[in-house]
This record gives sequence, C-alpha cells and structure tokens, in this order.
Amino acid sequence: MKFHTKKIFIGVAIALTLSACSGDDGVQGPVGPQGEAGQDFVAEPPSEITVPFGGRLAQDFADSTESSTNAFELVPGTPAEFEEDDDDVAPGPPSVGADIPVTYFGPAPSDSNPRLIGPVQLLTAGIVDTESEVATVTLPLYRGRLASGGPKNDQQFWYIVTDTSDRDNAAALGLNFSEKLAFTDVSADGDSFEPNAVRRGFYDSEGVLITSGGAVDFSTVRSVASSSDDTSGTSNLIAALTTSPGAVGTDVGDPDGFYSPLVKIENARNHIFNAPMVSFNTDAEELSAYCDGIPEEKLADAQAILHDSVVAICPGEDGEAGTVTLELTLGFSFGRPVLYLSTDASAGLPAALEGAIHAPAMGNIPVGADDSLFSGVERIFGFTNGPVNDASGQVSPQRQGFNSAILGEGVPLNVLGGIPTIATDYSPLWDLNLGEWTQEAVDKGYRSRMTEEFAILGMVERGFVTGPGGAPYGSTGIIINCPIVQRLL
Amino acid sequence: MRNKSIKALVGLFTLSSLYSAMVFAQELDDEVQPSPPSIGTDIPVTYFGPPPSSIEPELIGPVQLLRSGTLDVDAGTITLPLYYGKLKETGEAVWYVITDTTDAEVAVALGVNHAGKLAFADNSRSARIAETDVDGTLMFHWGAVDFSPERSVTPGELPNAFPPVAFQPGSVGDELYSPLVKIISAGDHVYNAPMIAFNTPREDLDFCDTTPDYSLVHDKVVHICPEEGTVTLKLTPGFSFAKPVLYISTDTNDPLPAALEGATYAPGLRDVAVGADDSLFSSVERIFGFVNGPVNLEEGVVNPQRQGFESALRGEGDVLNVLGGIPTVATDYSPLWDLNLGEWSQEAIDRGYVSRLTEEFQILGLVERGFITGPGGASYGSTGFIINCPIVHRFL
Repeated sequence: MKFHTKKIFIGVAIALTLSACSGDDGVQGPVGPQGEAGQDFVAEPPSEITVPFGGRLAQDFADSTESSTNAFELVPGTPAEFEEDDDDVAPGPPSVGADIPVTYFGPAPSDSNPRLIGPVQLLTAGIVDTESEVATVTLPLYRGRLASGGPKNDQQFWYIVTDTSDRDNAAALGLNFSEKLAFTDVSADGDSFEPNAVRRGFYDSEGVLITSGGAVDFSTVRSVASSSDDTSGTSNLIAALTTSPGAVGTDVGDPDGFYSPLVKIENARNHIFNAPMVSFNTDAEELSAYCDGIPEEKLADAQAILHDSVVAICPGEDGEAGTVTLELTLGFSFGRPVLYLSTDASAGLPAALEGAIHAPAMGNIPVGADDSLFSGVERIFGFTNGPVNDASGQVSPQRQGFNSAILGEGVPLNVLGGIPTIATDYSPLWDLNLGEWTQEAVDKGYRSRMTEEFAILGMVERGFVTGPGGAPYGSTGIIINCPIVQRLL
Repeated sequence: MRNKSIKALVGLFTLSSLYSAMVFAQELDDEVQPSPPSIGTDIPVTYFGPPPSSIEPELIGPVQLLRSGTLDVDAGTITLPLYYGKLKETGEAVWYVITDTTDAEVAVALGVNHAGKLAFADNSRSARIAETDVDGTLMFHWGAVDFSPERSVTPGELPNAFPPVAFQPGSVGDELYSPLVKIISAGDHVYNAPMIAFNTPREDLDFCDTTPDYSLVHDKVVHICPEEGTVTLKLTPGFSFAKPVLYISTDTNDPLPAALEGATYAPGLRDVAVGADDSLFSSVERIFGFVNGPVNLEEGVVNPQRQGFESALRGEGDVLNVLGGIPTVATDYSPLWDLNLGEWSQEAIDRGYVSRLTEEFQILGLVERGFITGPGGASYGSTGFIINCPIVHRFL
C-alpha cells in the first residue's frame, strides 16, 4: 500500500498546499497573491476578482470591520499539549487536539439525555470502578437455596441479579430491562410444556430465592492451552485449544434439575430474572475470607468455590447487605466502547475462554433469529483472526479477536448488538456470530478492528468476512450470558 | 510542469470527478449504506422488528435530520425549498436555501436543523445582516458570490495526489460573504442560508430536469427549478460516532477546501474562531479528515478501508470525513465544521495500523498514542479551515 511519507510536508498542510499553488512551475493559483514560498497566505480581497459591493451599506460595513476582520487570512488553532496515553480502548479525552483544556468543555451530552453520546452507567445497581487495572463492578450479593429433591437438596447458593423482563422493577433496582427475556422460557419437544432453559423459583419471607433446580460445580479448574501460536492468514487458534471451564452447571435430566442463569419467579408476577450464580454450597464464613479481595496465594482455593470473575466477595454481617465485586470485559456496541459481565456460556470452550460457567441448558434457547418474534437473543460478533500485535510486543491499536486473546494480548473485544439507551432489542443472552477474515482480506490489508455491527455485516456482504473455515457467516449456536454494565461513550 | 500538461491534467481530473459523481450512488450502496440486518441470520429482513430509531430518534437506526426537503438516498440528493431574497440596496437577486437556525421552534416548524452554537457565530464578518421586507422577502445588507469560475483541481503526481498542484473553487464570495445571516426582524436569530445563485433572473435558472449551467449556480446543484421553488443538491457521505451520515457541503473559509469540496469560498467565515470546540462562545464543531488514509490497491477495486484526501484526489470516491456531534447524537451540533486534519505516522503505516476510522474518540485515542499527528508531524488540531456542512441524514 502506498502512503505519503512525512517528506512531502515541510510545514503544516496549509502553508504547503499554498506554496504548491504557487509552485516552481510558475502555475498561478486561482485566488490570492502568490507570495514567497513559506510566506503566510493572504488572499487578495476577492472583491477585485468577483463582484462589486452591494451599495453603501456594504461599503460602510466593510470599512467598519476592516481592522477587526480575519477575512484576509486564515487563522489555524493552536492545540494545547497533551500527555500520551497508551490505553488501547478507552476513548481519548475531547481536549486532545483542541486549544483548550478539558475543563472548558461542556458536559457530555449523555448528562442531559442518556441516549446521546457520552458515558452512561447502565447497570446502576452496582458501583463501577474503571480506575483500577481491571475494570470491576460491585453488586449486591443475594442468597438462595436449592429445593430440588435431589442429592444437593437444601444447599445454599449465592447469586447476583442483572436483568429482568419487569420494566418497573428494573428501573427501581437499577437493573437492565430486557423485554426479550420473556421469549427465553422454552420447552423441551413434546406436547406438554417442559421448561428446559429457565429455572423456576420463588422468594420466601426472608427474601431468599428458592429454586426448584440448578446446581453449579465451581471446583473444576479452568484451563486454556493452545497447541499452536500460528496467527498467519486464516489460522484459527480456537481449533488448536484444549480447554476446561472453571465452573459447570447441571444439565437437563440431572437429579438436581438444570442450571440456567435465568429464573422465572412465580411470586414476582412470573417475570424472568437473569440471576447468575457466583458460589454454590458455601456459607457466609467461607466467603468472608475474601471481603478485601483474593490474595494471590489463595487464588486457587477461592476459585474452587467462586465464579472465576469474582475479585472480592463479602456476604455481609448482622443483616448488612452483602456485596460481590466482579471483573468486567471490554467490548463495543455500535462504535462505542462498553463494559460487560461475562457470567455463563452454553458451551465449554467459550466458558473456559471467558472465565464463565458452562451452563449447557442455556443452549436450549433458539438462536439465529435475532430480532424477530419469540427470539430471546441478541447477536454478538467475534473474530477468529483479527489483527494481533506484531513481534515488537507493542499493543496494536487494531488488535481484536480470539487469536489475539489466546496469545494473551487481552480480551477479544467482541462487538455487541443492541444495548439499552442505543436500541430497544437488548438481551443479555448473546448469540455468538464468529467471523473469519478471508485470506484475500488478510493479504490486501483490509483487516482492522471492527466496532459496529452493520460495518461487520457490510464486510460479510462483500465477502471479506466469512464464518470459520470459509463457512457461511452466522450463528455458532453458542450463547454467552453477558449483562451490559457501562457505556464508556 | 508546463501549462499545457497542467491543462491536460485538469481535463483528466474533471473527467475523473465526473466519473466519481456518476458512481456516487453505487458507492453509497457499497461503502456507506449499512447492510441489511438479515445477513448471517436464519430469517429474511421482513421478520425483523422496525429500527429502534422509529420509536425514539436518539436510538439506533435511520433518521432524516434535515426534514424540510425530500431525500433521495439512492441518488444521494436532497430537494430543498429554494428561497428568493435581494441585496437591500441594489436589488440583486439572492437565491438561497435554509438548513440551520438558532431558533429551536422555527427549526422544528420548518424541519431544519437546530444549532444553538450559531449564536456564537456573530463576530465581525462571520454573519451577514438581513431583515424581511413587507412581502416576506429577505433583504440582505451585503454579501455577493461569483458563481462564474469553473471548479478544477489538479492532483499531484502519484503516489502523492494530495496536495493538489493547482485548484480553483467553482464559486467565490466577496470579502463580506458568509453563508450565515442574522435576521434582525426575526429576533436576531442566526440562520445558515448558503447562496445557490446570485444576480440571476428567475428565467435563467430554469434547470428543472436538465443539467444546470454551473457558471450561474453552486456546484452542488443537481437541478434547480424556481418555478416550483425547489433546488436539488448533491450530498456527501461521512460518519458521526460510527454512524454513516449524509451532509451538504456548501461553503468553506478557504479556496483549497472550497475547490476540493465543490463549495463556495466564503471569506466571512474566517471570522469564526476555531480550536475551542465545545466551550463558551465557540460556534464550531470538529470534523476529522485524513491526509493519507488507506487507498485502493487495484484500480477499480474499492478498498473497504479507503478514506482521506489522497484516496479522494485519486478519484476513488468521497473523503469520508468523521463529524463530531450531530442532532439526536449530541447536544453540540453546529454546521460550521472546524477541520482537524490527521496524518498517519510512518510508524503506524509500517506496522499496518492504518484503517478507516469512523468515530471521534477513537481518532483522538490514536492521536494520544502518537499514531496520528497533524500534517507533516505537526501538533494535531485545527487547520483553521471551516467547512459549512449542514447535516441531512443518519443511516444508523
């Protein structure tokens, strides 16, 4: 690809282009006197080459503004200094390139209307921390009990609540409202209704959630190992992975009933809540050890009883409310950087990659129909072979995808479809559409970080992105439960 | 280079710009118009719900922002009401369109854009003065435009088509001309009223179905029809916060961008201060362009990442600039765009970091990391060029 080099420019573009119009070949530019090269550009009064002034009014105004006007010279800005920042995804401050420091800027438009551009915390039930090394959210920690009649009957579990199909209570509790969750309560094949994707539950007089099924084994150790580090061309490191998820939920047919993060709460007007589990069969005392965080040496112990995203957990004492702090994942939605939780996945591999619970029952929810009637999902767009860092180790501002993530460069920076305040079709259940840049796109340098759904679909339409291995583009059949937390823009 | 070869080059470029005008509609399909959401799904597009923007215009989906006219997305044009006014003292005809106003109520009533920031654009010669006559004709105190020059741009020799070696705007305002006008009989509100033709009688502007005489009218005019009171203008594609958009490019404060954009050179706009973006008394909003964005690798094969002045000057299509805030996306819209011109650094080029960019803060992030600078490695910021580009349509 041919690009300009800095050599073409000896000064700023203006000075240069102006000297170009009075260049060595003696070609006269159309407007303005042709000064010495490098001289400030001053346009000759256009009145001499165009039309005379329209009468006395105009002449008087011209005279009275002669000393104040800049009409004869162009005044460029004088950008203030700014500090370099290596942050890969967070939006740069608006003061970059401006003449004024950031304090002189008006508030973000999202201050007056959350649907406008600017930062918006969407899951307001918690406290978001974007300052620490890894962004986190601290949410209320809730207690539940399994009433399955199976071997794990009566065991206690801990969970968070992130989304609900109940609009009013979503607003009251600071949860995400997701109308589409109403379409997730699907049934096994047959003539009678056999729920196989949404647990059943009710709250008791103490506010404890009692569910009729669903256990999670947090003791499994998460592992991701790749037998290859070849990221050339269309190479897909996912195919070279050996993985094991860090937590596994029970499937349909289990004597303790199936686990799904979704629960239909009978005495809450049968609304569906997204209530991912963070610990199972543990008591408050065990969890209190991690109130101030998880020390490095206790990480393995903690992860054997906790969701892998947990950074700190505190069940609360003497009636105090409990809290849990969870790691957030960066991604994009319609060109805006966002932070979301990644709690459950319907398959083992994405669960291992995302540090989520493998919840096989979630896979019973139909995918592929996005925004149509009875569709409970929204699409998320990932890439196998997006750009990776080069040998220098410098973080590429274009890096994205699972190859990059598997090499340890950071999160895959997936692209979400609709989220609240941007669209009406939000669902925390994301139908993974996995894209592969074609060899042609790689060879021609058409690959880049993509941040917006329709730009991706445009690349698919033009044949530069396909499904893995050249397959038709579309749903992988994998669902990831990723409640949205914060819009950074 | 001798004059003869310059002329040949001018001829070539005129041809290539004609060509790019011809392929404009197709390019819109290929390059900017969003693809249907049904791609990659199991269901045809008819099963999708309506776009969220049909419920609330701030949500994602298509929204026509300049509602005073009829938009033709396939042709990339808008047909607007054509207004007739006069220079107060000489009686010379001023043909103009209205696209933006500081008056929020009038904006809603007329379907034009509301731009509160234009209240800060009344400095020295940056706005004309006018009042309405008894019959409603707008009487301008001053400001004339010469539409007779023939627009031309002679690109540099490849690989550096930009900067051009010669250029001529197709219309040139006098030293008092600005597209803005403060109407003293309408509460001192500032209107964006770019001139389309000047001192030309009604009967000479009858190009209702034919190609207009560009020595009489603005270069963006596709058809003009005083009889019906309409003018059809060509639109320019770009992006705002990753949303593909269409806007009209009518005037600039310098001959170079005027020639490049097919706009009127309006010296009065030089009295609008730049560089301070969204602060008190700033009437501008930033637009982000690139000197050396990606270009096509093979002739006739569109690079899906192409963007910038080099690509445009090679005749590959529009520059695809990135706008800051527009109505329904932000509160700080102004049709006066302060051009921040970026150059990808040699390091960014060597490492393959160069791509099409579509969102302001993503660009500022790359500036922060040093991968984009001002032209020639200068500090990134305002070039001083102001482009008057009223927003027309959001695709997303």
